Amino acid sequence: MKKSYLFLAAIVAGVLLFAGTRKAANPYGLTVGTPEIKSITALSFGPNGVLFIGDSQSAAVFAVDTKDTKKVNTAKAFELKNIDVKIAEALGTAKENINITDIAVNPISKKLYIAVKSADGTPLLLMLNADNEIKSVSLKDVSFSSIALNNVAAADAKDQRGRPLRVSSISDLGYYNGKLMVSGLSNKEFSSSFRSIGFPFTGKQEDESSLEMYHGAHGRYETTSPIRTFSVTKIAGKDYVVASYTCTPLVLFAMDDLKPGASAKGRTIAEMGNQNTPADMIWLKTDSKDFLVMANDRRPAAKVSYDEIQKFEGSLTSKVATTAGVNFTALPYEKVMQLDKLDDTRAVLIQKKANGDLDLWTSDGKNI
Amino acid sequence: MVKTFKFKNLKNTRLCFKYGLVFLLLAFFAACKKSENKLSIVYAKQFPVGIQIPKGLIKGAIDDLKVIDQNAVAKVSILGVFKDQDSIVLFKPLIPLTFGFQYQIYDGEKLIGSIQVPTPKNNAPKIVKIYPDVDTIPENLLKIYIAFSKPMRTGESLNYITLLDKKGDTMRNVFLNLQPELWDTTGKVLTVWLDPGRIKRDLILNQKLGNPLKTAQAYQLVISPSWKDHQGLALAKEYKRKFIAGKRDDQIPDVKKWLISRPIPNIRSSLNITTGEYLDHYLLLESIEVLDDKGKTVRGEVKVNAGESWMFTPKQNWRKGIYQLKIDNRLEDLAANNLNRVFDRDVRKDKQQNKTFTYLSFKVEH
Repeated sequence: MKKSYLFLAAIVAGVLLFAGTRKAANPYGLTVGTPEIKSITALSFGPNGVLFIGDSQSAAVFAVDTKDTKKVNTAKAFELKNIDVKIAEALGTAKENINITDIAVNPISKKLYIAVKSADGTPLLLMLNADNEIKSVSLKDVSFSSIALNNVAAADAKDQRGRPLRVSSISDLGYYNGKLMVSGLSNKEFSSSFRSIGFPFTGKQEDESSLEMYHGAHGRYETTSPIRTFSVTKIAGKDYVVASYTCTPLVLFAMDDLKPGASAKGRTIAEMGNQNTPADMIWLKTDSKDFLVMANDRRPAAKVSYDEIQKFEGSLTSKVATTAGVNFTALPYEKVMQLDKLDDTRAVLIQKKANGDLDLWTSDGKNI
Repeated sequence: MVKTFKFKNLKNTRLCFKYGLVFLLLAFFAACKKSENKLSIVYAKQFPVGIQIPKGLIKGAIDDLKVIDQNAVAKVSILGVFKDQDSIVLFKPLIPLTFGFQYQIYDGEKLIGSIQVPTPKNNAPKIVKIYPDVDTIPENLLKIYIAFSKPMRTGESLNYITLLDKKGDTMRNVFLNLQPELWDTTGKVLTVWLDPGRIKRDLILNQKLGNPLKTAQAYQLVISPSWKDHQGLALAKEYKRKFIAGKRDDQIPDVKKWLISRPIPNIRSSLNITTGEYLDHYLLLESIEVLDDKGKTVRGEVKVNAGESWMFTPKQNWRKGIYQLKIDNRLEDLAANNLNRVFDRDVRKDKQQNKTFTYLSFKVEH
């Protein structure tokens, strides 16, 4: 009898141990369910196949475990001409009825995730596999967690007539060393925000940092200009956020300074041309040298050498008529709407061609 | 004789009735049988969200079914799911079907049916209001709100919005191109920024291209009728809005100049504020709170008229005593000057304060 009790206890302990192991397999505090995503305006991959989805309409970021973690060492190049027509046909509609809002390459599986908004407002997450086939990514019953970005809930709650609420539009997302960084702007007042949020999310609201930079094209110090896109780099052992704004100044912010509620002062290292909005930026290697590649809406894509950025010690603090600071090379690619990194040397781009076609293509390691 | 005739007549009538009934029943069954094998569209919230495929049409397995857009170049299966539901199979695409499109259903390689989604008979979308809703705006106006009656298509708004100068010529590079665009949570209100680089004085863009608007000149905002709503219906008409640029506004809104009416105790009379200058419509609507003498929020309804008149009707009667207005300092005027700072400034040189709220008190007394 005693023996059988012991046996039972061993089974129970085994089950508990097994359950414990299962729990440990999900280290990011994610729970299973269906996230209520109202819009997908930015995508970025975090650790182990976790995809961050920026939802401007809900003013929230969702972290979704894609479970897409089968490692691919050599990625095949993506190539899909008229990607808007192809996506529209896969959805049973016309290209006018869809809008590609962002792309992100899963750094592990090398699959391309594409965020699409349909004309009726439905947000969609699609995926392009190595054979350039369009698949749907289900967001039903997935492991996820989320963080609300609106720390102005009180202001919104005041609207007693149920009027449209303030939107914190998310312009870019990026994950680095346990931190998720989010840049955004408001639809009501002219203001920018930048938050660095610890991941796994704790549910605790973190204040945004106020970022101050000298805008050479504007000839003054500013805090309210919205950051359009950013990336992370290391200079002399220190981590920096490289940010770009409308009118294209390139500004470095030390990550140590990006504390909630703090005011961080940036160092403007380049002015890359006004009347332009940068769309995306990534780091690529060419001949084992690092380059920052930036997609622009009204100017050609541009590339800046890491060595030049590292060498540039000063900060632009006087008015600039055209371009100044760190040298950059204009690439022969105009209207690059979306850009992400496929591997160390290659980029995936969505470009609007002169004839109006929207093509997806991959650089070959030399042409960017 | 008469009797016999009557009887015969009655018999004929009965016979006719019986035959008629049989015919009707047969016709009904035939119709039922026909409709049993008819494709139909399923709607949810006025959107065509699925196709019902009767099982009578399906010979193979459900997995062999595919739905294709008849006019697609590449005949690819539309992404979606097939659900087995008693006598039908329901196809639910990832996004609603498109009005006016023809869809084909294949069972393996065999075409088993085709169905067109009729165009909706709904009303075309309208522009409800354009803010600021005043004729004269400061020449450094920063933003325009366009409020629609229905959610609109997003992502290409600047293709439909044009600003014409006094000669009727289209003004180039006036608006800031932002992706994602700034729509409110209902998808009905769009915020459009005039390029701040051109508005801020002494900036290169301002010097090179000049302020987009010039004092004492007339302008016209035109919104194209080809802009479609979320259901694919185009705007009812072209919308035009004339306005004149007034002088530049580089002043912080002065709440001390506000005229505050005196509500009467024991009734629900409205509290009116006249701001003396036009303020941002949506920010004004949501930036002011009324607090009682204990600092508790007084519930009520807020109305804003032409951006310079704020009206508040409490849910309960006013009581005698001192109340406070709690004003969010993010409240802006039309040139985006808020209660803390002017918009056009250098953060290191120009004065600014960093207060969250400004308080004004008022008395309720006989």
